[in-house]
Amino acid sequence: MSKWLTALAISGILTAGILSIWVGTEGGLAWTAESARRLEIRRQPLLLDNYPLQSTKGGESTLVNNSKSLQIVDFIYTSCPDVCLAMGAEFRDLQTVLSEFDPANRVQLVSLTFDQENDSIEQLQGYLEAFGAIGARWSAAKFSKSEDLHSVLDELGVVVIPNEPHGFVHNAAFYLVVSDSVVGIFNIDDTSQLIEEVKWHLSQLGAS
Amino acid sequence: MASKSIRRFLSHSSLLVGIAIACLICLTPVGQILERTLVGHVLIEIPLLVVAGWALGAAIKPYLHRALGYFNGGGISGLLLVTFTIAFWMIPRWLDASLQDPVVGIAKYTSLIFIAGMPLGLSWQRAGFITRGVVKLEFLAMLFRLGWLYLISPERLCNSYLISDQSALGQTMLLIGGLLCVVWLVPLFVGAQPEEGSSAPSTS
Repeated sequence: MSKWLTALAISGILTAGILSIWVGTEGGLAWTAESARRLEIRRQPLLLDNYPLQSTKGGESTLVNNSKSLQIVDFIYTSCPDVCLAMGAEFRDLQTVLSEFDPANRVQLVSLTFDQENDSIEQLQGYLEAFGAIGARWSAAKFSKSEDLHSVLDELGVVVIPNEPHGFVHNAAFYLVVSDSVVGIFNIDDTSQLIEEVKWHLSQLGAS
Repeated sequence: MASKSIRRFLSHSSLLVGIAIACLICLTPVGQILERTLVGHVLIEIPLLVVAGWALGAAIKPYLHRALGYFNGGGISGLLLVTFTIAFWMIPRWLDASLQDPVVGIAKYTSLIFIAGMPLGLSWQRAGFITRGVVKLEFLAMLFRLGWLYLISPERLCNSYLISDQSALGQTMLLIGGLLCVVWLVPLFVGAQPEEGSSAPSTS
């Protein structure tokens, strides 16, 4: 009797245990919070709110763009010593690649600062200049309201943690925005997939 | 008569110890302080929660011993439950989520106490030499697997922790794994044949 009950308990626990790990990692696809968020946005694009931004393009703008355009967005802060420099360099390279197949600048690069306190429009301008940004392609912006920044970071699953003695660390990525939704999150060190996807979206937009 | 009252005393003190550790971590800032670093989170807080559960399990064991015997032959069901619960919280996604989402945080505290620590306390004495060996080996394997992963991963696996924190966890896990290898495996090769349950302290 007790042997059978034990066997029953063991099979129940095995099933529940394997199931919880399977479900908890989306079938082995999402072991980290970042991969889980990416998977989620792939399945269900994230609709952005009409948050007001102050842009280096001058005046107010917003991420939501109903015209036929694509935006590649990243988060930076201008006093960043490491990963933002890598992202800046990647954006510079993207600029070159994009000009080859998108001379009309339909694909926009947007660097958003998450250092609301210290980054002014002038500093963002300096950041763009340091990377040789072409104004018609690449702009930088800050959120007009800090709470908007926090809700966007929250929605995108970006966690910013302080890195002593100075600066911040965050899960860096490129976000592809098609008109009003984030449709994909991409690695910053390999942009080939991002470029493929941009080309595909461009052809879709061109066709419609 | 005397031994019965000693046992009751031990059971009560074990209950107090369990409640004290659990309260310390869940209700005071100690938990948050430990969670500031990955090493503190994974190698101090989680084991402490398991210890709290173990102490609670030891305290209630006299009352549940017979009833649980039906389902927990050889302690295998209980130890399996412990293994899965701990394995689940080793998934970076959920470790991260326990810091970002209070509901997941509470789930972590309660599950580690009640479905990891407590079944461990209720099952370890029941387990035979082979079962204990398997559990210990799996534990060592987990330390080495995860330690290696955290040490070599070029990416941050948890959004809430720095990469330097991650490699520190990897190194510490490998170190603990190495030490446990010596502590657990050497006695098997040196000295007398191990007796069943020899690793359990006995006062008799």
